[in-house]
Amino acid sequence: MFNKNEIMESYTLERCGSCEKELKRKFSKGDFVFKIVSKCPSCQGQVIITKIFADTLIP
Amino acid sequence: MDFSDLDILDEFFGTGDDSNPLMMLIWILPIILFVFYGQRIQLIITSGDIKKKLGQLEQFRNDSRSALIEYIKKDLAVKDDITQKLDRIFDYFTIMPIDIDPNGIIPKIHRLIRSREDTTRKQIQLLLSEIDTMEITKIQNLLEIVTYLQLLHRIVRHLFLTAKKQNNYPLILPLQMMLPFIMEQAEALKDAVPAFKLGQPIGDGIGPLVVGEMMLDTKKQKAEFETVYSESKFEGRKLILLKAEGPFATVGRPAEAAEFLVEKYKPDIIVMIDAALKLEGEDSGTVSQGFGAAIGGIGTDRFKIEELATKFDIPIFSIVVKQSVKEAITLMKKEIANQTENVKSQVHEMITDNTVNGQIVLVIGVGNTLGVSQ
Repeated sequence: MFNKNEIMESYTLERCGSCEKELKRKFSKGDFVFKIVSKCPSCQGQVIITKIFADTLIP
Repeated sequence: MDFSDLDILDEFFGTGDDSNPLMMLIWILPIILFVFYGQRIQLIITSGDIKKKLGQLEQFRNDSRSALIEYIKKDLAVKDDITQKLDRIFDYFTIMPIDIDPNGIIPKIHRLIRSREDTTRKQIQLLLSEIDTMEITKIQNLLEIVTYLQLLHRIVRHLFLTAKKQNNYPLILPLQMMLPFIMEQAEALKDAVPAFKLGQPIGDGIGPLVVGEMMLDTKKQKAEFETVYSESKFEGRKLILLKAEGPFATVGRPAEAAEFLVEKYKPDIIVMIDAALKLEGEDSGTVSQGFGAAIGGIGTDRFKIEELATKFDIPIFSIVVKQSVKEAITLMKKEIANQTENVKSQVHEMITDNTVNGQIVLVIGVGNTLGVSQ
């Protein structure tokens, strides 16, 4: 069960298919899992959203 | 004056003498009161608690209704006043087929449920022209939430008012016992609204999430209405992957799609991945393996898949990810999302353990695929 004192926030996890670099950011409208987001800034690989989840808010 | 001999308590209450009439009255009056009016007193106390919960239920229903109307007006920029039409849809009821003779009842229920879904979808399309499939499915789910909350409120209110009207305490007892479970469901439904409005994956979407990942870089084909499949390979086995079409807010039509794929490919085993309700004390995100068709709902899909498996003599294996009612219909928790790789490796292990090279496996990701593509 959810702890009532916990503040949950929605996050989106992006991963580059080539270098497997991951980026966790706050969810934004229009995100969905396996959506192709952009090119990886380091290796130009394809970045896709791999997870969207609720986690406790990082202060 | 000497006060040492004056024992007021003894004089007044006769503590030293059991036959004092005042003392007897103090003891006997409450007994008489509780014998004759005990149930009414309990009814008054219980009523207060139920009334409070009833108010909460009404608030949940009003909040979710307002959230849906606001979403349609603001996010979908619908200018017409559709409140009256929506209120009529919230009031829709379903008359279940007669079950005195249960033979052949499943196809009747199946047809009834599909007919309700189709009609509601058409109503939404008529109300809100020019909206895409994603929005239609989201509104369909939000409508279900408001309708269910309205139904819960009405049933609880009916039972409560009946008990009050009859002044019948035993009649209110079952309601008092069931109310915590009803409130848990109602709270979960109320909290599900934001995820459906934003199109975020919910806990129930763990099955489609696992299968969706397995479907990446494969050719997706339509198996049934809002249901897709693709072919893949794993260690010499042919995999037929099936899930609802994401990222729409839909569970698809897994039973009909499974019928089509079993007829077409004649698989040797079926593996089903779904979310399951955890028991109290169990941790969220616990993964368990088992046998039989892991699929929820009213039971018609499970019946169809079981019939299919029996007809073609196909063993069904299941993998479930445990979660609470609330976790299943609200934004997917980190603990559940983090099980994706674990479940995928368990599916692969299950396939290698139960099949040999060249065999065919049907893998079904069961659940609402909201916010999960493929």
